[in-house]
Amino acid sequence: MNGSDILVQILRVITLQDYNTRMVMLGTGLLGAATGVIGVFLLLRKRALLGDAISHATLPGVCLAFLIGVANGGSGKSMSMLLLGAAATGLLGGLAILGLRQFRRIKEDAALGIVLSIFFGLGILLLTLIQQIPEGHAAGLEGFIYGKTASMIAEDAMLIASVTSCVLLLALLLYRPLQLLCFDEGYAASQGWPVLWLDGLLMALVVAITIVGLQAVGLIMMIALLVIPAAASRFWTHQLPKMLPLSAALATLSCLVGATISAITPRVPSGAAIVLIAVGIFLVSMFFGKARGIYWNWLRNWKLKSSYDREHLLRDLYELVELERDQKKLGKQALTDISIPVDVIEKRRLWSHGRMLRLLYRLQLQGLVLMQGKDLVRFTASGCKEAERLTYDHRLWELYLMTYADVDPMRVDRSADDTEHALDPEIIGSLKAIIDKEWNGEFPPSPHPLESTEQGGAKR
Amino acid sequence: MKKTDSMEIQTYPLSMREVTIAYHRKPVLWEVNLDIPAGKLVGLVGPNGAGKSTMLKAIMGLMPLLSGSVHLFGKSYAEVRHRVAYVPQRESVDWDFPASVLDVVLMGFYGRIGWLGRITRQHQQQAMEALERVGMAEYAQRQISQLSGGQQQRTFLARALTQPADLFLLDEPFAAVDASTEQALVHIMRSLQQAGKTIMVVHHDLHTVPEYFDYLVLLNMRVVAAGPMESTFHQENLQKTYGGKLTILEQVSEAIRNREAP
Repeated sequence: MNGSDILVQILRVITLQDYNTRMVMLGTGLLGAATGVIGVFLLLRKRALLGDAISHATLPGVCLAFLIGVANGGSGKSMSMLLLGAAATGLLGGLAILGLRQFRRIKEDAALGIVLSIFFGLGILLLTLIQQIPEGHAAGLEGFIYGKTASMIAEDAMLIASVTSCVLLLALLLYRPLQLLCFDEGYAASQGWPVLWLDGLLMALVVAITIVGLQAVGLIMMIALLVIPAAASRFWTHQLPKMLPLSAALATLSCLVGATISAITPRVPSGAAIVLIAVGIFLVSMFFGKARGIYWNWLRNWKLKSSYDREHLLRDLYELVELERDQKKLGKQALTDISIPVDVIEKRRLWSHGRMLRLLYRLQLQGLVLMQGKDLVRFTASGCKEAERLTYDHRLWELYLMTYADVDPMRVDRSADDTEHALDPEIIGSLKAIIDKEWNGEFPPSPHPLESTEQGGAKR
Repeated sequence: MKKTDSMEIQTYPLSMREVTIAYHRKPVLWEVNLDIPAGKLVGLVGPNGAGKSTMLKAIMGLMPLLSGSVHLFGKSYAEVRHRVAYVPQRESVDWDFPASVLDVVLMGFYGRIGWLGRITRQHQQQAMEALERVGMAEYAQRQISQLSGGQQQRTFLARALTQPADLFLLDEPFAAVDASTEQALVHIMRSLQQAGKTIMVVHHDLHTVPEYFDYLVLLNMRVVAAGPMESTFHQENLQKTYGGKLTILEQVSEAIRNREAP
């Protein structure tokens, strides 16, 4: 196949030219939507692994149905029989877990592990048996394990479409009871909601989705499609009504792209393709999700931290200038004329020289300080004003802490440092009202010796 | 049951007869007999593991009774569910759930609107009024993951206040909340009481018991004492509830467990 052939093939698939492709795309798309919605509830109910155990428990059912079919003289590949078998053992597995948890004192994770491994082990055993049957047309069964949309026919897709539509409809109709169940089981029960039945219903929906998803996604990867889009959508929103459609959309996208890849290169299992796309979406969401993505978090922290650094540095410089002025008995206007060596400021903070210089250059860009070479720095008029305000707020807060919160004067600078950034103008106003009375509106001196500020060692 | 007894049961918001409950075969409540008169603000007090939360759950039929019966307003819980509002322990749920404060309060209507019902503007209005009462109106749209412990508790109380209930059951509402929330909760409980409601509160802090409540139930696997605060809250009863190990009951309970589940 040369390049243009591939292009033609891709075009054929994505423009949905033949009936079969159209149906398969419709089926897998709906599968994605339903899986995305059910996945959210499963995740919020903290039952994600239940889905994994159920999907693995379908394998022995598929194999048994195949064997029964062969024993009755057929090829064993009747789709409805295979899916019926899958549903039977899948449900059995789910009930076994609920039963173990409810009536024996086995913790849920242990129950899941036990059921999953027993059923899957049994399935593998049966599969090995099937492969030794001389007729040997067991190949189709692998599609159930790894997923193979390429082998799907329109009829299969119709089945998927009808089942997933029902599941979707049911889940949306029962939105409120399911939401309440996931959030507050105890309250739900006190209000008369049949918690056990709702849990059972949720499990039945998972089984239904898993069964019809077997062909497209395969039983190993089914859990990924249930969990990953749901978890990814949580990074974008804090609201359930938005999380549901988003998760559905992400899962649908994964399914459609995955099915397309599988249609173009039939040797790639569609389950793997779908899940890899989903993982890609998850990673993007984890970093850039608007609600709790890592990137936004990091950006917020970085902005906060640099504003803290800026405020600390301005205040340090102000207090050093002030100290110098008082020691040399210079006039009030002299504040902007006094230069301070950079290494003197550095002693007050446990910052590296590089960080200190970067901060100073940034302040210079903002027109707050002037660097004289690399070693000396002094305020501009606006910088001095800004620093005076910051220092004033800091001292108000220190005085307040010392007077009303019994903070040790030798440690007050540090505690004020950590909390003062949260002070808004309103709080400053009320602090001012309290403290000004004692200082008659004058600019209060530092309530502690300034030289001692950094002697507490590494605290930052 | 004597006729007079059944007459009495009908008048009480809560009436328990010979209730015994076992959890994993270990008895946690023994033969509880209890009548709570209407319009009382009741403190349910006892040491850890005394069965306080279990008792609330048993009242609402969330725990199977080994024996005995519970009546609310003379009827079974299922019949008078709409007259009971429950405030669970706030640690019992995951506050990272994707919902706003208003969403949680609206859950108070779910029981009444049923499976396919809808939340109307009127429901939202009532939910906002409940939030107003607990001082949380301005937080209505806030994500619940951002709430402090006290705000979580207020949210839960607001949800219960949306129910037109006559009996309120609160499970440790004062556990790890700030002082102003504690005062607000007490204030709301008193106003509920003035409106003729009965309130039963699981509580830990003995110091505040006589101040907050006017009726006391001392519990330690059995009802040690129950009655009006003045006549019930005294050293001897407290000693019986907290002091010394409840050796015999404890031992029997252990023994039963050991024999039945080696």
